[in-house]
Amino acid sequence: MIERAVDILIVGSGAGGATVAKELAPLCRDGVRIAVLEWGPKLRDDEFTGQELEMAGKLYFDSGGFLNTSKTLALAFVKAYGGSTVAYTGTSIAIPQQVVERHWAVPGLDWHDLMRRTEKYKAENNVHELDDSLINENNRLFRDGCARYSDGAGSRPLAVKKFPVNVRDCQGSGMCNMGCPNQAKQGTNRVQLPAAERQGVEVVTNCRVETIGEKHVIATVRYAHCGLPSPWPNGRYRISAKTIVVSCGSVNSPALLQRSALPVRLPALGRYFTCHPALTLVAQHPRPLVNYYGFPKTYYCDDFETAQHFILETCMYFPFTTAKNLAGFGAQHSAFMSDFRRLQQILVLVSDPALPDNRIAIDRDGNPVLHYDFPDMVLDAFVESQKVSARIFFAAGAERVHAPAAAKFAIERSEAGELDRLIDRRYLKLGKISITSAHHMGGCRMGADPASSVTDIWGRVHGVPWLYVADASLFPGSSSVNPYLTIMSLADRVAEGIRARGRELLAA
Amino acid sequence: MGIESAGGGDERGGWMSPGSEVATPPGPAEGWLPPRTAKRVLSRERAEFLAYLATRIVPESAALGRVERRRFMLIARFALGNRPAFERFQVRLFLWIVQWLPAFVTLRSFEGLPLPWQDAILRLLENAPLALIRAGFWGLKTVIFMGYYGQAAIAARIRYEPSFHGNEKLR
Repeated sequence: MIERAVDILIVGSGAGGATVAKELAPLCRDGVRIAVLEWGPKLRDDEFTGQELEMAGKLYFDSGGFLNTSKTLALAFVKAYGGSTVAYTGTSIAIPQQVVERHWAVPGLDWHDLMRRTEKYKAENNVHELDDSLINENNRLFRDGCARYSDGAGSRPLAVKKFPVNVRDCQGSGMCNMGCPNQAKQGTNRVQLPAAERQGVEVVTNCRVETIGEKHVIATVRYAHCGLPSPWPNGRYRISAKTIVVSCGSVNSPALLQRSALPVRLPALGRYFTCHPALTLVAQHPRPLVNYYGFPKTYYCDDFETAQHFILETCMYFPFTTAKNLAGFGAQHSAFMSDFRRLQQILVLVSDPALPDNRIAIDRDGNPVLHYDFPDMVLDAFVESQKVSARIFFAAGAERVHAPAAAKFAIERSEAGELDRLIDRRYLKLGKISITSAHHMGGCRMGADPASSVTDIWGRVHGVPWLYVADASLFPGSSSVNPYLTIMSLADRVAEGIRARGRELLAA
Repeated sequence: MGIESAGGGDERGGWMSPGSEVATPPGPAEGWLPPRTAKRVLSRERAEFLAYLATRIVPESAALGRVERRRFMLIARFALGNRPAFERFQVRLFLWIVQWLPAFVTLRSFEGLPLPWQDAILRLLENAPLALIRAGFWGLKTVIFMGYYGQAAIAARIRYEPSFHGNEKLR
């Protein structure tokens, strides 16, 4: 076992870990030793090839198919220098006030405080709206379909909002979810981690942390067959630290804490997992579109969030991912896939409630296991959102729509008036359809009560003063929007809390 | 699709140009193949059945050329090899069930049934009352879609021809 010692150890380099690293980096000037341990590799720029299967294998846990125990939900999350910020789309939305104040309702956690921090990271990561000239047809059709939206009650235009995005010199490869091949997306791999390293923080890649013990971790460094070599040689390490910050995301942070011998009992650990479950809906147009060139995600509609708990976003995925998102098989499936240019896609995301039984546990080997059952309100929202999406597709000119909760594989334009009959809860069969999630939250939720939370409102684990959490696992419930800015804002608070206790923590 | 045992061909890992079999620098127009070191999960018989099943899930796969068939199997092997051990067992078991369950009623394996019967069985599995059966079928479909649509040459055939500089196509 190789021995190492630092003052502050951060486990994970995504939106949470990298933010803490960058915020604490100025302490390096005073001789404080800070290291970030990242499970995944640091890929070279030329390793972002845009090849769907290759990048899924290089970047994602289980190639993007981490399943819950009933195999009805697949999670996508990344291990790499920059964590999941390498493969998100870069859409940058602030958490709504009502979510923090009404749904989270954590005493001492103030929405205005989060917004102040959110604005800081919007500026730091170059968040802005794309110029209209860079919006492709898949996105424009969503906007137009929403403008012409009509339901049983008649014409009712939907409000469409433009996503702020964190790109710089975007070339429109459309490959955001495979890691930008042009290095345009301003994830933590481009902004916070390099800034931290310039100030003296050491980032150790290919390093998997196995357990946390009393002010130390046990970790293994092993070359990942891609990317740059780790700065530390292969081997098993015991790394001591005065303060440890866990930032491995909502799946791996609760799992790491569960397989560690912590000196406290944390009944909420792993529980209250939410994931903003998503369905991709696909329509076929009578003519080729310019759909997969250009930035893939420009617009969203949250008109249904308050009453029906779902939002709609534009999206455009790749051939294999699209094929598996369609229910059915055979000739009708092939006919849909026969010309990719004719497809329009909408992503539906449902705000799921934080329930104690939806949880991350660990198996005998200490690997994370997700127990997740879909509440009825989520399934109802999936059904309603498919009706809404189908109306948007038809209003945009689609000739047929594939809705996984429909009585048939494709609903023809001539049947657009029968959507309420054709799309129905009885046709929504879990396991048959491809429900995915990239917004994992909870598992180490913050709060005042150790019986129902894992950390305090500064991310400090109840009863363990040297141990912090800084990632989406802190969320007490769903953020209801793409979460990365909120993760960074909470991580900023965690860093502030550590700085405030710096003398006490570092003297220990 | 013909019968190809995973790993039985002469494919190499690394960067491949779809037509030439010559290693090339990476780029979106080039094909990618998983390394041949991928763990072998299916027996020859199960691999052959998976290839047959693919022709019912993606009918065009019946017309794949020799190289594309080998690539299909290599990708499927890679996909399955990366799954947890219990899931690999479940896939093997599920393939066996699909192949031989019809024999309890018809005395014929799945491949021996008329094509409309085969499709009817697959539809039954996809809509089975038990979520675990539906999920098992979805898993098989996913492997087949990955083996087929995961090939750059086939993606190009359905007119998916990405560019690192997609904004140029917007003008």
